[in-house]
Amino acid sequence: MTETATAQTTHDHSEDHVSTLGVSNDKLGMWVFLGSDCLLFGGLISTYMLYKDRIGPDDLGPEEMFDIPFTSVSSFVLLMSSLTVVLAITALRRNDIRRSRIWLLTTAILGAVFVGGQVYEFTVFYREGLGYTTNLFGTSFFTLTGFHGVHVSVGIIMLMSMYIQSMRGRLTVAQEEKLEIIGLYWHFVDVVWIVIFTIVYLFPQ
Amino acid sequence: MATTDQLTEGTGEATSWVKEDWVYIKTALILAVFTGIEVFTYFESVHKAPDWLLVLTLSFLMVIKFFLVAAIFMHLRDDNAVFTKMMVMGLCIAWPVYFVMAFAFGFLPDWNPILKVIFLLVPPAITGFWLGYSFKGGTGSHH
Amino acid sequence: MAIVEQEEAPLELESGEDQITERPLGAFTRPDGGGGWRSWLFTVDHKRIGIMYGAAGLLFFVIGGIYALFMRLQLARPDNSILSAETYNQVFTMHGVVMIFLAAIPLGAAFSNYLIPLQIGARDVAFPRLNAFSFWVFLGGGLFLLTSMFIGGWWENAPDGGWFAYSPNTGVLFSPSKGIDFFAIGLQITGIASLVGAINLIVTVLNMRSPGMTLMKMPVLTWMLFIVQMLLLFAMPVISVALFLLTFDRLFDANFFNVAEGADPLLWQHLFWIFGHPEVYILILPSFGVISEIIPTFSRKPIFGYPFMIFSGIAIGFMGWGVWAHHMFASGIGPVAVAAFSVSTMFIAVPTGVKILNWLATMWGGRIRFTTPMLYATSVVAMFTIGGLSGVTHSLAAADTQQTDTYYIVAHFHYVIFGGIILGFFGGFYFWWPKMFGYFLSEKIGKSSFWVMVIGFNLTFGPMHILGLQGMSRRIQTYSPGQGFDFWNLIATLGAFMIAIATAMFIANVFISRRAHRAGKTPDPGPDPWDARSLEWMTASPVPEHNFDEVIEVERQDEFWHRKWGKDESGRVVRRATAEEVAHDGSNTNVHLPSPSYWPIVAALGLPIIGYGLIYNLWLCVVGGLFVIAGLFGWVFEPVDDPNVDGHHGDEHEASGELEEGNENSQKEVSVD
Repeated sequence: MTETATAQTTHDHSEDHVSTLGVSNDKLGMWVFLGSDCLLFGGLISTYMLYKDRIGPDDLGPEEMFDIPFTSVSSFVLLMSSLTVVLAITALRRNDIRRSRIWLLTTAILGAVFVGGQVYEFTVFYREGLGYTTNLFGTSFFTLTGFHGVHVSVGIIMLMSMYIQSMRGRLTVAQEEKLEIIGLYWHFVDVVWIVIFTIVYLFPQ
Repeated sequence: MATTDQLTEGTGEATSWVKEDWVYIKTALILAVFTGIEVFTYFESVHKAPDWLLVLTLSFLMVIKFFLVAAIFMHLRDDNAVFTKMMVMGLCIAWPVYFVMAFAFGFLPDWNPILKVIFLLVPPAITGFWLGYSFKGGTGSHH
Repeated sequence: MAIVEQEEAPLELESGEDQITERPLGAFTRPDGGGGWRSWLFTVDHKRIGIMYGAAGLLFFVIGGIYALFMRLQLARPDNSILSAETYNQVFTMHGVVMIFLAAIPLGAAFSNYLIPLQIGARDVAFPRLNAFSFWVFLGGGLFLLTSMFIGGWWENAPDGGWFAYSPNTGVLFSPSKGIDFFAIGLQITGIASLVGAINLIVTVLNMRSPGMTLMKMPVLTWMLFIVQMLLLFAMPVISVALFLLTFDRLFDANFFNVAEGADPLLWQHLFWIFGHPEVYILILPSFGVISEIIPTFSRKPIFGYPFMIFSGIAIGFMGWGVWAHHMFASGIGPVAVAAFSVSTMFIAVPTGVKILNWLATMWGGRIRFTTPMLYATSVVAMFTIGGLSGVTHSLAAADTQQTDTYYIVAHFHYVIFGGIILGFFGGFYFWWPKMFGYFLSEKIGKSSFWVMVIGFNLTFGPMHILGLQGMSRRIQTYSPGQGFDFWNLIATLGAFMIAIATAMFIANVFISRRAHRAGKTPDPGPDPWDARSLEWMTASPVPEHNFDEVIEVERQDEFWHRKWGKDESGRVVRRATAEEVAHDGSNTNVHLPSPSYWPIVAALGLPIIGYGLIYNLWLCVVGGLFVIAGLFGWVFEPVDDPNVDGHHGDEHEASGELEEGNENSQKEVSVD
């Protein structure tokens, strides 16, 4: 009994007494949320697909605007950050705090590079004459990718707060599940980008 | 929860690289190769291929990448089935609903309506049967 | 944190005045859950949150009802001028929005929050603090919406686009006041509340059931509420997208509904109704669940065809995603889409019909006691059938084109919403009131208010069928005499006031009955006043904070009833035990419960401030953002327990017993799947 009690002091919330399915409430909650987020991005992608060709006669369309090599690199960066976050989790599971911390930081940096790339892309588009209010393509494109960017940014904040926790020595094996849940969110954001990258950028316009 | 298990498990091994990591790294390599193929279609000579072929190839690669990340990185492959069900339910609702909306807006007007119905209903139907089957098996039921 | 097992650690119960008040000061201690208003503000107890949802829902119901009375007054006579055309637009918009988003959904949430954990034998929901957060977010969003009536002048900035807010009518060009901004942001906020609540309750139902409670042993109410949460989970993001697009259009000059740039106004209609039709089932299924509890109890028979009841509910849940465009038959979506949605709409009547038949079959041959809850429940079956049948007439696209935008539609959806939902909820109030508050509502007042309400309801909405078929359009501010509309409109207005009187009688009943009970004039209900069937009756009334004294091992559907009743040798049903013998008396004080918390309300407070900021001054968004961040920061870093609880688990033995059960089961589960 005392052993369980000790373990639970490290576990910061012991609100989940019963577990019918033998899984943690937190993790199930994250999955339920991700299931619902599919509908959010589905709606935004559909809106974009509906509007992408509705541009004025003199406006630049997707074909002219997109810089595929650049976006490919930033997509690749985000894809690889999915690997690094998994490595952070497995390192933590092995109680290898130091390596876990390094992978955490790497993931956050890769995410930041992606968001930075997106900001750069937006600026270039703006300079070339595609603003948020220019036409339906601009409006729906910036909204879709902006929503994704906000999701990535939230993920970076969560990763950084885990990193700060680890700097203060609070990242232990007991936190493994918390990191795993953040990881799930991060992978989901990556998966959404896989879809956006293919449908928005690569599909023949 | 199973915190005690984790403690003993965690302190057991201190090596830095283990088999598990290699699975993830291999997956990442596969994903990278697929992304490479995807981007390759952008280049001039390939891009001249008919649109339907490009769309088909790209969609196929996208779906594979999607499932690889979900199955291995998000370890749906060996985690409790309830997680997969939640995700799949979201996808199964999103897929037909948004496509019906797209069709109502005249998306893919040259498709045969029967083809549209098959396209809409087959993926959710397959998953629906699977969900129903596993539901019969008793999701997390005590006896 | 001391790691000492304190077997004697006291519970913080409602009457917690005699507890130790010494507690360390500092921003990050948790509130001590003592008495008074604080125990409500900072509570994480699902029962209190459920009661607050109910109270807020009733308050909004009354407010929405007042809007309706003004509309009926305006329409009582031809050429009336109580409300101007502009105000009339705003009033019917507010009526719809308040009734659907701030009254019907929260009343459903009240039943979900209060009853789901009790019916599955759990101590609380999966995420108690998130639960409090959803309630405060909902209340903040609702009040935010209501303040649109006052801010910037009396009825200057109230939304005026109807509850469906069709574009491009809601663009800045056609609706220049700030009303639609309030509408879009307010609903966005309440949407967050619904989404968070849905995640919470889904995890609760899936993962917090007591041992032996398989999915197919859960009460029908829990099942229906679970389906509702699934619908909310997947429908809320869709309306979120639509509202985001609208908000961006209005605030940041985006083009989503800017027809001049080639935008398609149907995009809003599709997104809105993809949400809007599941929403209809989000509203009705809780009431179906409620009467599925009431009817078996007062017919003294188990529910007829339990699996059919469940699967028809699931079928409704899924098919509800495939019928949305029947709201758009008149908007030119093309013959193929119209035909397809017409057929799917006819199909969805089937599972609903299955439910109606099952309720009738449950009552058939039963020994029916017509108490107030049973009166309400039977009236739902009758009234919903009328509404359902007029609904089927809409599925025929040819007829629907004639009926669209007439009072016939208004009559239809009020028969299902008022006759189906509100009557069911009132039945639920009378049924669970003794369980929630420990005293009976007066049957005498209850029955008379029931008759006033049902007659008033039929007088209000019955004539609207006739008005609609005669050609009276909805959403018109007035009509000229001599069109044959005068008489039925006057009747409808009289009926509306009867509904108002019945509602007032209900509210009066609450206070009169409470006073009578305090004076000792009415008996204590005891744990099980109605000889009911499900687990919530297996504990004391009102429910103690820890719900059940010990974990209940469930073997059968209607477990509690089977513990009271059994069969003798000749197969006759005989009583085995009294309810008092079976039920827990709430005396176990060794249960550790989640502690109250300051932070959900702090974080929730930030959202309406951000809302005002978006509309008026972006600096306010910073203030609101700070609230949210402070709330989340405190949330993450606050200690696990309040200062009154020293040990970790008062019920360590019990908890670990449950754990083993769960793990054992999980292994089996994996092998099965």
